[in-house]
Amino acid sequence: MTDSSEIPESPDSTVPLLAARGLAKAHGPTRALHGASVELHHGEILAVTGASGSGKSTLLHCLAGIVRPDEGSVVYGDVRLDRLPEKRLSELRRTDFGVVFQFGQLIPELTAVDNVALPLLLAGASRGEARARAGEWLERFGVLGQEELRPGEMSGGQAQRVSLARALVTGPKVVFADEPTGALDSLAGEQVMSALVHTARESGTAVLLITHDAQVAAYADREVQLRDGAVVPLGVTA
Amino acid sequence: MAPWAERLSRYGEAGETAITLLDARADDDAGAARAAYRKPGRLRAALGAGRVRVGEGVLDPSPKRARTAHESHYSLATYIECRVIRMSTRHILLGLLAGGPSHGYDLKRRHDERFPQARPLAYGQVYTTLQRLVRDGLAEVDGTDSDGGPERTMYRSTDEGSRELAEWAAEIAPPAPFVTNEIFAKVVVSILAGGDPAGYLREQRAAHMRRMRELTAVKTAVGSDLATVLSADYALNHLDADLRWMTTTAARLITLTAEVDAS
Ligand SMILES: Nc1ncnc2c1ncn2[C@@H]1O[C@H](COP(=O)(O)OP(=O)(O)OP(=O)(O)O)[C@@H](O)[C@H]1O
Ligand SMILES: [Mg+2]
Repeated sequence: MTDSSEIPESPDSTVPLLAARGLAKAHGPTRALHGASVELHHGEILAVTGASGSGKSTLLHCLAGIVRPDEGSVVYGDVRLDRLPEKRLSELRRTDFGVVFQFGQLIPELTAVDNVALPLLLAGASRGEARARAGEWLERFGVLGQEELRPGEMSGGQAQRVSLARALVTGPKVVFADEPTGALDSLAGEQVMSALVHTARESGTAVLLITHDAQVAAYADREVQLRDGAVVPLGVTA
Repeated sequence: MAPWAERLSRYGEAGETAITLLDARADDDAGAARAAYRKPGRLRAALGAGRVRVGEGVLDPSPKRARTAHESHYSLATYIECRVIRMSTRHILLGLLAGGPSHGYDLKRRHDERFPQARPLAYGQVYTTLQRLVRDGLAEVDGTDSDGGPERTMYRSTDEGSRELAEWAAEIAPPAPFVTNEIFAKVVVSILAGGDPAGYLREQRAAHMRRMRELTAVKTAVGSDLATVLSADYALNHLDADLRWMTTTAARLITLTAEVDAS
């Protein structure tokens, strides 16, 4: 096993950046995933779609090392995430991954700018530097003049923009975004998606994007569909 | 003349107008159809009360009978609105001429630029339409221009052309009451014939998504002009509507199959 710093920088197009094979995950009697396999390549933007309850969020949590699958493997570079000790896993999540959760998860006591600055502070940046960079990222995602609002004072759409800024502020290698435009109207969604895609292309960041909106999925390079906890196979022509 | 046209003409002025409309449609001359449609309200009221069976074109004055056969009957007014009065080449050409005199080749080129997701105009269609505009007094010949190459006839809009354009542009388009589409037809046929509608829907979704990715790339490319963005948006929203229907249908098919398997 290797450290996250040994994850190859230069993309080898034949080896996926992140690969899940045969994932199974049950929540009590509910089989959220069974037999889900998916690959995310270097610099790729991958859309994951599927009906409500098909296991999209659970898949994202397994891939991002937030939840351990009951069966199957999750390989990041050459690291088995599903077998990594908790301490190493959380370290890797902090350095390499940015996550936008479906249901917010901003810290209610902190303002928008402090929420975004937090990952930088955890990585050792000074408060002034962290807040300055957080401000730039908020601007990129169209949060202007609302930097000092707390999550309870934000609209759903504003909170989503702040969550995206927080996920991207550390320059992660992979961004996991669970319905990042779910609370946005189509023009605002377009603005946020353009900013996300532009940033990802610029920095070679891979993105796993969960959405039920085909117009949002159309920003991705590829789409995989989930049904009943597994990926819907495509025919030979697609 | 179609066999039903004679019966139609029995309805007097309304019937004659209807014939003009249907002929104009056959002739692909939406302008004449619109002119006919704009006849006084008295006549339109008469038309609205009648029904036309689209397949045979029989005017049926009994709304009750028409209702019982609702799939094959439109009110004539609805039929005209849906099928005849639609985005017409002549109005688009008038719109392009609003910027100043131009010749056919240039109009075609500007059309294809302005409406990038639309079907490219055929030259023949451009010239026929220009001649009709001149015939109807909406445009006139404005000399010739050679510009080093072959000599080309220049056209410009008349005042009446400008009025017609303004009227058309302000008119509300009728939301289509019935939609038929190849995707829908294929799914239904596939279900009837015991084929693999779910498999078809998956492949069709992949094709739709590919097209939507292309359109999104066009739309978000640096320096895309407004016309490109608007037409890409329009196409994206329509493909999206198809996709949502396909997603719902795929889900319904699964439920259906599960029920059949369980019984
Ligand atoms: N923490 C949990 N406890 C119990 N059941 C859960 C939990 N998380 C998910 N589930 C169940 O697992 C299944 C998959 O849930 P998941 O959240 O992955 O779906 P999803 O595809 O993200 O849906 P949505 O589009 O509604 O967000 C669902 O049936 C859900 O009820
Ligand atoms: Mg979810």
